[in-house]
Amino acid sequence: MSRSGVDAIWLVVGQHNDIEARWVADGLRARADQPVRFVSDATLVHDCRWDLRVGAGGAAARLELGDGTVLDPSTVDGVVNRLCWLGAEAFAGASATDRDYATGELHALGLGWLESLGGRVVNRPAGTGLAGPSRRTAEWRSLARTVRLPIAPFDSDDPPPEVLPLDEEGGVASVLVVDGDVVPADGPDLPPAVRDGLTALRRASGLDLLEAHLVASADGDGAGTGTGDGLALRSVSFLATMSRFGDAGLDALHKALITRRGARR
Amino acid sequence: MIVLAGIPSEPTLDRVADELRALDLPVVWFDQRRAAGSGCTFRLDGDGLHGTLRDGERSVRLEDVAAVYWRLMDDRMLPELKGLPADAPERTRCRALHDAFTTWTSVTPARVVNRAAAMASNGSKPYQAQLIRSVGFDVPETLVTNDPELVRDFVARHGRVIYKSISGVRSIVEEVDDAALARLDDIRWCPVQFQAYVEGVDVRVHVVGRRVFATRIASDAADYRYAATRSGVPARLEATRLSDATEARCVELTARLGLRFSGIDLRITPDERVVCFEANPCPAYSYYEGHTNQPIARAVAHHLAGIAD
Repeated sequence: MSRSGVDAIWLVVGQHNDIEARWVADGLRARADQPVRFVSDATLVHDCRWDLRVGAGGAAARLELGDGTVLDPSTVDGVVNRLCWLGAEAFAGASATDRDYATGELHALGLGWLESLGGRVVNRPAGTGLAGPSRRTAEWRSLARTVRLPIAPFDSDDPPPEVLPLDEEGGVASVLVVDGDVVPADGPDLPPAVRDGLTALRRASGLDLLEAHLVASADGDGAGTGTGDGLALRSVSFLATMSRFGDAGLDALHKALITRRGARR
Repeated sequence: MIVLAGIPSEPTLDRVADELRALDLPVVWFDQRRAAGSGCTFRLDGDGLHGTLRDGERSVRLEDVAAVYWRLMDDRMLPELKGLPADAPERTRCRALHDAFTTWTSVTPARVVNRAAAMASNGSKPYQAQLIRSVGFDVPETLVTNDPELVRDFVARHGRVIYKSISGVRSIVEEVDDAALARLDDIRWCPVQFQAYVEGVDVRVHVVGRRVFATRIASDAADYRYAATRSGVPARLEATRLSDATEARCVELTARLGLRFSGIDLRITPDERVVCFEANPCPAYSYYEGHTNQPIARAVAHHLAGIAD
């Protein structure tokens, strides 16, 4: 129960066509003792009264959705953030220039709102992304090296790995990392050093939740550390395919939200 | 080796290039106007980062680069590509080149002024304002809304109110007047940022590492950058000193944002309160240096060279 006397809400925020976000909301609903609400980009752009304030008293937002739901610091105590963009593409009557401007404005507003929610948010926003720091493949692999996680070699002339299915590049494992929990999808067990490396990568990344893709490494030692046991990091997504990890992934996310109850900054 | 990237004739880059020449330091250009003859390729593996930057006939090893100062213009707007269709091979190659270069600046261990990720906070003013607050600066009372009634209440409470873009898109700061109030219903389509007007004197602060250069700006315009065109009276700029505490806070904010070089917009109120509007991660310092003779370019050059601040 929130201070305002109504059940505090957990939000899952994402694009309107984010099937995984809806799956997550359903899964959390089955586990939670409080309402869980999926809020889409379309609702935020077209069906929301915005009131975001920043000043001497700090930052706070009050959003009133079309159905009367109020989202403010007293009614929201957990957020799964999968929001990639807020766009004005549906502003059909506007010129392309005005739509581009409005898209920038909406994105900036979303960033301000999500930041105002502070520590309640799983994957807090960053300047480079509404749902947390966005990195290119080379940046992920570079970051992995700093935490001594073996990496697959990166060549700037290569196509982005995202366009290749895992099995075409010897992909062997997708792994969900949520706070301190490491949840492999179907695949081999992970060596302790790789688990530790993934947890360290998650911490270094500024994300609370990420999905890592590992590949078989020719020498098993992509970072020169001798700890890879034949696995190396290929890519990372902050937008995990949660259904891949089933109940174990939802349980980890549920735990993460519970630990954030009452969080502020 | 120090890499300068962008349009060489741009004053901000040109001045730093001059200072690096004065230090007799080796410089290589990533010259956007010569993109067709340039290349940037690299490999990252267990042994580290290796690659090559090519400018015409000259190539340098990326692992020999100690520092980078970059101010890239949108490669789609380069004059060399003017008139070419969006899918022209020249455009595709140019985009890939810029993408590779930008990615390299994000992963190189060299000193980079500034890394792209660190510059991104400026894309949202209410987001950055929350980071600014976290180092102890006052920020203007701000409302972002699509509800005209909330704006009317805000104006009634604060009296003078300005509005400006929420994003990093440059917009002219305007005061809310009767004409603006008359078209307030337009904000229902897209939220707008309003701020209580802050009385006081503008100070632009350039922070380079730990060095601080403050410029006091005298102007009656709501947005001094447009004072000359709006009122016919240009802003007057002069070097000034801030309190030690404010200087330290500017340095802290720059570091907190992950920047090596910033342009911070302050306003000092009549009661000596210091209000921070924003931190620009890619400051066009030459305008301020040109009016005040503060050695900002030299400080950037020294920072790139690793000469102690």
